[in-house]
Amino acid sequence: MSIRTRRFLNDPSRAVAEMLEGYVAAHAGIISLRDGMVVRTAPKAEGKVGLVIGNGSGHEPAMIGWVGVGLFDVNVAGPIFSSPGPAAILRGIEAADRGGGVLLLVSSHAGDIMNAELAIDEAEDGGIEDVEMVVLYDDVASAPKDRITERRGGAGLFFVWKMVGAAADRGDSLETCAAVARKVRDRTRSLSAATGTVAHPVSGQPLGDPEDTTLSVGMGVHGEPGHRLGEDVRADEIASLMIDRLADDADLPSGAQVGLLLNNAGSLTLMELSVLYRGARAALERKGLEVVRSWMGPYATTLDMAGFSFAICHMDGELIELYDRPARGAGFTMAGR
Amino acid sequence: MIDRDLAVRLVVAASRRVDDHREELSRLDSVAGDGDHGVNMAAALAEAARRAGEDDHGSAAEVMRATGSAFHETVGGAAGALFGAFFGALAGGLSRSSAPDESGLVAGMEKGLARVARIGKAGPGDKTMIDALAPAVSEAREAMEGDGDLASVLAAAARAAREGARATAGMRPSAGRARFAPDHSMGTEDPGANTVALILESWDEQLSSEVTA
Repeated sequence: MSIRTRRFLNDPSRAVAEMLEGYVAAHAGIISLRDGMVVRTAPKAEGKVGLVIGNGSGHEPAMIGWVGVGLFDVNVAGPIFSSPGPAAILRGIEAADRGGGVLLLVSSHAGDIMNAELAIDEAEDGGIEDVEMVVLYDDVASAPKDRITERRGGAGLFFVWKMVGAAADRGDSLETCAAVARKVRDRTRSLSAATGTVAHPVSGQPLGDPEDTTLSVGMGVHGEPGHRLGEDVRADEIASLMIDRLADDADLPSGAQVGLLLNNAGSLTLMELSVLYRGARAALERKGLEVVRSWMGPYATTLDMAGFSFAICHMDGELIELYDRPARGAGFTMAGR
Repeated sequence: MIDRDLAVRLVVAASRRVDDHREELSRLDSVAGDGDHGVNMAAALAEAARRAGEDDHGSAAEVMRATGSAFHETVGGAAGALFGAFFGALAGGLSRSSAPDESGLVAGMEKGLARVARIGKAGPGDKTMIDALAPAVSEAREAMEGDGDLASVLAAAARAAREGARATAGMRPSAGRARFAPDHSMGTEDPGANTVALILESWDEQLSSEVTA
């Protein structure tokens, strides 16, 4: 087994900049590039809360595909797997400000939090008020439940992005949008699995051990190692093991309604995803949980990692309403119900 | 005295040294991180060296401030935030006097260490850049209080930073991204601590070469 080291790129150190140019050009009606940031082509109405996210690149469609109506106003894409610096995030905050306050959503990773905090300090120094930050996490493998705030962000946060995007779009206040973000976060759990690893496109270094082909559960979105399962484990067994862990951690009552997200970390086939989804759905139903909404596809990738993650979100009437509201980004569309 | 031109030479020396060790730093980072530390640090310092040389900086403090901004604007990530904060604090220490010397440098390093610890929420023994920086700062202060000149202060700092970086091989990480892979990183030195050692070693050598010449 070997990892793919050849990619269809020009100068790898220019890959992120050239990706942004190409992606935005392909979706010109929805997004534009301004000062290196992905912004909505048609800005949100005055007075509504602006939503900003900064993140490392290499996780596409996160988050360049999630800028648009009912989604983010600005995405500041950093270098591969690295948060953008405070100056860039500050420009993002300024670009998203429509007079209703700005909410900076941060997926919990050390660099993302540090740079966001530095940017907010600079925004305050520069006289921009009404900027709030919510740190989000969902990955049950990254810390035990009694230290839940130390957990890192994973694919489950797409429930947060969608619902906060809908809240901001319908005109909710900064305070309400931040409360929605925390509520969805606290009701969401994720766990990932992968086999093998990928090579960093610029340095060429593999993330972790390139010779290790076992199936692992609990890896991070930058290839941080997880718990090894073994060489040959059936999809149903993996799905069931992962769903059990998520449902136990979330402490869901029988009969609870859940949203189920199956995220392709990069190179899984639709065949594998569908088999895994089937197994997860059966596992949830065995627990007496009702799957009321589902997502399956690439949301937060790690380049072309052969892996996936499951996330569940404990839904209620308010969250389902926000989930169902229309959205239109280059990498995600919700027609509305 | 640390004047503007010396500060530029120090930034250029650091940039060269880190660039020479770029692949080694990325390899260290690939063990428990994402394998790009060397690439990122080399890119930030190259940008810092470019700005230091081109821009019209009037003082050593302004050169160090521009270096901090280069980290914040070029690479981001945790390392960008932390090294950027360190160079910003260094600029603060050097700006306290119109003719800054080793005392301004040591004051700036102390402030930088405190800032890195606060922003990074880490302390000694967590297997981070602090494990090189903290001993370097304390040895630099001791050398200065023993009436050492700038060259001997930097020599002491570089020696302590290297020893500190080596010692991280035996530590279990408890801060930053590597904490999710504590066992994987055992036996491997921390990349950030190595970058601190490389920068201080390049400054030590720059000073020694100037004193000899």
